[in-house]
Amino acid sequence: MVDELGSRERRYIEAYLELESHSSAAHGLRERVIAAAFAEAEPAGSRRRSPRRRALLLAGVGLCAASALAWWVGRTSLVEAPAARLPDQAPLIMRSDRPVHETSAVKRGDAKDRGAPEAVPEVAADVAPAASSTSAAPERTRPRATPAPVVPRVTERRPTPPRKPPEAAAPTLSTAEVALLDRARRLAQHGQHEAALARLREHASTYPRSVLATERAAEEVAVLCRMGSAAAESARASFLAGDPPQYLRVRVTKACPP
Amino acid sequence: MPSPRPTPRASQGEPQGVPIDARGPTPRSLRRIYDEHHAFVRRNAIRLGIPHGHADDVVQEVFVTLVRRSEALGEFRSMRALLFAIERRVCANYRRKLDRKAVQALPAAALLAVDDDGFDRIEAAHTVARFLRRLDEPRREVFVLAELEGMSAPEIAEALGINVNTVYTRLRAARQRFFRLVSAREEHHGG
Repeated sequence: MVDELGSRERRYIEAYLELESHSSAAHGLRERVIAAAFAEAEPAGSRRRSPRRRALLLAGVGLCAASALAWWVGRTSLVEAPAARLPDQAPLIMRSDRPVHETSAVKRGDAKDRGAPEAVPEVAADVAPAASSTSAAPERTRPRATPAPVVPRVTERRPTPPRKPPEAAAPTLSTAEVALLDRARRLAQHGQHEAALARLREHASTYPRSVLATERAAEEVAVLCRMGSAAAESARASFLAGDPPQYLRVRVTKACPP
Repeated sequence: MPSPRPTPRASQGEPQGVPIDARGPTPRSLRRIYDEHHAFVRRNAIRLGIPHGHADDVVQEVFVTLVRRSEALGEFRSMRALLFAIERRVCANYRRKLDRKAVQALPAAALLAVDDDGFDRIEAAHTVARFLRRLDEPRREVFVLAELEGMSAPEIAEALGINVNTVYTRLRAARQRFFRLVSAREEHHGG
């Protein structure tokens, strides 16, 4: 009895498959999926790191970078301070007599002109007043030149893959909306055309922008035709002029032969 | 017991074995897999209880997981079995987050279709959809893969990680229920 489905059950399955085949994926989904898959993917063969582990790793990298910067700045200060005594570096020392904000503004332009790294003159200018005291220079400059290490928040959440808003994929249908249209169709099948029309108009007033508007219009034309209404012919012509889908065109043409 | 009957879906041709190497898919190979199988993944998401409006999210999650879990590729001989194995977990997680009021409606494109002999294809399709919704998860998975996808019992067993005999047992039980439901409906409608 149930080793295989019978032809009757198979017909149900085929109806389901047929209806299901009208469903299609959102346009452009493929490239979105590829982008999401490879944005999330780790290099081949590597293990996925937990968010906590990744945050710690980032913190470590940040600390290393900050230490390296501090070391480099300190070293530069030590080198620049004695060098400031040299005649070709005199303008820098001269400018150090001015207020700090002024020297900083001028030195940037100089640094660019000379092709030197921007950070170097800034520190050198700041330490210029203490240039005669080489031992004090690095101690004064370090706290100022060393930026506080940027430690990422451990609680920061891992970014999620780009996702479309759930509702964007397909216009939503409410159960009540589908049921109302189904009820109208059943009434029409049982010859209760007036009641069917009333349901269809109720549907139109309740769901004026329904995704089933075309189906509703087709059903209305078919009902009008079955009723032999005088408005049927014009409704039919108007419906067909609106370039409806082929299956609805066939349906209306069947119900209202020209 | 005969094997699950092939359907038009099954005749679309399933490549033998998982067609990508063990290092995992590249963007190019993933595009190929996507083109071949995204429809399979999408329709089965809906059959497993995901509303239409959310099916694309599930499709995306399945393929993202496929790339992430490339180490699993070697364990499967069939790409469809692998994708379904991923998908059933993705769907189970997704269903927990879903609004239960979300509509499980079938696509509207073919609404109002009745055959000449009065067989209402829409109602029939909705009957199958309702049947799938009410069926318990283990039987639903087997029924979907066997009757709607036409997959073989060994392939289903691989996808679900169960014994082939278990596949047959669950399939028999699901068919019994479906048979009873259709009979009751036909009697009620005087068919």
